[in-house]
Amino acid sequence: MSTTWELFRLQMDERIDLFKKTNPKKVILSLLLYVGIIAVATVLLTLVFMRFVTIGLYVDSNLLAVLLLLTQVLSFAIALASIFKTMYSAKDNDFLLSMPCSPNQLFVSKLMVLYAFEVIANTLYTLPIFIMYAILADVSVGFYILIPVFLLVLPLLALVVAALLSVPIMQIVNIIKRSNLASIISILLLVAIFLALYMWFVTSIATNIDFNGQQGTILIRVNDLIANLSTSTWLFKFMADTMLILEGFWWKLLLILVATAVLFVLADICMRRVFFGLSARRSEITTKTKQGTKGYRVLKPFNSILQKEFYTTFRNSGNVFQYFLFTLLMPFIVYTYDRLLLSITVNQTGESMIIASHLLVVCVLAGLSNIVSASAISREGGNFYIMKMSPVSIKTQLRAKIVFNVILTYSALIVTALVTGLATDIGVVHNILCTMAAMILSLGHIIISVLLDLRKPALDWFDESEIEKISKNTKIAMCIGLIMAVLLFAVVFAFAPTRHTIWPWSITLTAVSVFTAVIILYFELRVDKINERMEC
Amino acid sequence: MLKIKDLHKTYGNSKVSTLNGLNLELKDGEIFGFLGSNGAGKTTTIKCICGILPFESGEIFINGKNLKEQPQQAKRDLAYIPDNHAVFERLTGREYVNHIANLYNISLEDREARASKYLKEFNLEHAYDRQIKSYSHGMKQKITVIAALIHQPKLWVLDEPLLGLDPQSAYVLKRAMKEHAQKGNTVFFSSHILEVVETLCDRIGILKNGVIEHIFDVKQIKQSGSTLENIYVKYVQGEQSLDEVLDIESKPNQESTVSTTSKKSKQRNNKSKKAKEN
Repeated sequence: MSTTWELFRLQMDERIDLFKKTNPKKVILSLLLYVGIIAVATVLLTLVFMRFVTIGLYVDSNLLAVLLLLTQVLSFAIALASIFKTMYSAKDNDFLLSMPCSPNQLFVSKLMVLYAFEVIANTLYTLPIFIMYAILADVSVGFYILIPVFLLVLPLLALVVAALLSVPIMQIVNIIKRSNLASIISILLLVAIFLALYMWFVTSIATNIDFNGQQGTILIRVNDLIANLSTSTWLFKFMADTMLILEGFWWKLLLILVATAVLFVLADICMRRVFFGLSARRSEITTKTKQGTKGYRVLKPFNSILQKEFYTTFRNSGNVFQYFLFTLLMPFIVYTYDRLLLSITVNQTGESMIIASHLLVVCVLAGLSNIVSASAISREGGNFYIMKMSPVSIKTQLRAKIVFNVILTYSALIVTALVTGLATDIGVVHNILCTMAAMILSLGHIIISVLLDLRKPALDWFDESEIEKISKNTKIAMCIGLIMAVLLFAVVFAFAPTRHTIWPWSITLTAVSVFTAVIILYFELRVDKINERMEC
Repeated sequence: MLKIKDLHKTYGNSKVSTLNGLNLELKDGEIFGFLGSNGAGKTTTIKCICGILPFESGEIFINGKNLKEQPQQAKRDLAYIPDNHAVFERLTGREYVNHIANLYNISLEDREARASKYLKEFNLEHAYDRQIKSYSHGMKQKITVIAALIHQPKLWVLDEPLLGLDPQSAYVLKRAMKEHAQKGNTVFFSSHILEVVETLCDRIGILKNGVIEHIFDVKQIKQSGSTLENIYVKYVQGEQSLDEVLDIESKPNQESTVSTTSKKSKQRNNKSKKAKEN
């Protein structure tokens, strides 16, 4: 047991400060931050639900069941991601196995790590819901007894379901991983399925609930929806009833605990049998390597760097998900946003708000699509020396990287504009001018992101997924993009009296053009200096 | 070919300078070995020469071109092999070499001829159109070497080039270095494998305290009858200067920790002692 515990501590130390005896300050700070987040979430949730309750939302066992369902869907997603990260794809598997411990001890320690993180994450959003519910509803003593029990049992349930499902998923992943093209197609298929469900959900809400109607009518429909959902998910309804109804409390509690234990043992048996085999096979499988028979092709340095960017980025299926998720999703998200939210804003604030909102969401997504530039230099990693010592000016090299991002973001913006034009009521002129503003702003944002990364690149990484962990540039670039989008929204919103076109767009386009021109000028004047000073 | 004048380099806000006025001049057609303890500043010097690291003061000339004033022209005559064997793993060998050739504006005919020559020598033809991520450690080093030589650099800089190479790959790389120097180009490399440095180099420089304390001809070692390893270890461990160490090595009867002095060198030393007495 002591070996398992030591293995557990070793893995926990890698991730959080909780067990680090050497730095008690860090431990206290981490705990305070955690408790603080729970407290803030509780206050916010209570305030929001108080408002809903005053206008007619029922606080009954159905609501609790639906809230439990939502938290457990989230817990399941977190558990599934953690299982892949901590179990199958863990880089420390080989290292830990080389230690004087049995595979079973390692397996159990990994399960303990997973469970610990699941409890930490689950408590963060489930505890505020329980407290909020206790404040708003008349709950019995059983509810309070069950809060700590459920905080420990619910993560286990999510973990068990995720563990059972991870085995067939892993088998499929191991097959798909053999081909890069199959990996990309699978990722795109998954995204498409998710989007289809998402769009169906959003469209059905938009058609079934009239957001412009009376709030009371809307709440009746919402109460019905909650009741229906609660009845169809009997497990969560049963849990909610156990918490709220004292009759047969202990029997129900015992049943939940026994069922969880049985499921846990089942998942443990299933996973233990295949875990080491699957993870070992995963490391053995290498994607089928690219076989090229092309001859040599003379290209100018700029074109060669651009081509290299495409090859090195898109031949890694992980990159598609990591960097281009928002680029791919932009047209869909804008479409659903326009369908759902623009219908709410139309009667309340007029057309100017609609255009400003549309511009905001387009610019936010363009900003998120531009984050690939915030790792433009970092992605070179050990090859960065080629950039520094090749006889090509740093400006030319960076311009190629900027153009690479521009091609991707602009393509997404054009597709978004076409979808918007075909599927919504936003006028052609507004649509074109909005896309132009987003394009000009994006160029400035891309250049800023590249310069950020040139100042402080994260070159010392093992695989590309580590770049974002080591470098803060992506987060900073995201924040900059978000701020710029909000500023543009404010400009259009403030300067646009209803149904005017020329005045607000003139200001917006002038503002983004001046901003981007200044950034380009800064780039041209300062990039050599930044490059010269850089130490790597 | 390479001239370094009074090079100073300090990292970030560090109070300790890594390089304190380093001076060096390399001739055409020579192989120069660069020695020093771990952390002495060998890689820093190499990165400064290649324009990878900035330096506070001093001048570096590559084939007569000032690296600070004419960086692109100077870099055109330069190739560098890093110690980490970094390559773009998602590219095929051919795409990688082609990309580097594009950066140096090499004509189609030249890149074809040079690549096929080196591919044959390095026995890498079978893997050339495969993605580099499927290459072994030695194969990655070979493709880096082919890419480095594709523009026939006047100065070839290598940082720990033999690190982790199998004997066959190491042999091929050493041969390539010799052949490159024989064409009148200069090869500058750092290594901790002293036997290789001794057999391959014409001259050797030892970096200590941020300056090159000694530059000596490999012939001097051969004349002393000792080995570079013995001389270097004595020099690094002791307080003596290299001249003193070499002097000790040349005195056969003096008590010495060096135990491998050859008979031939003892005879030669005896002769020189007699000559001095006369």
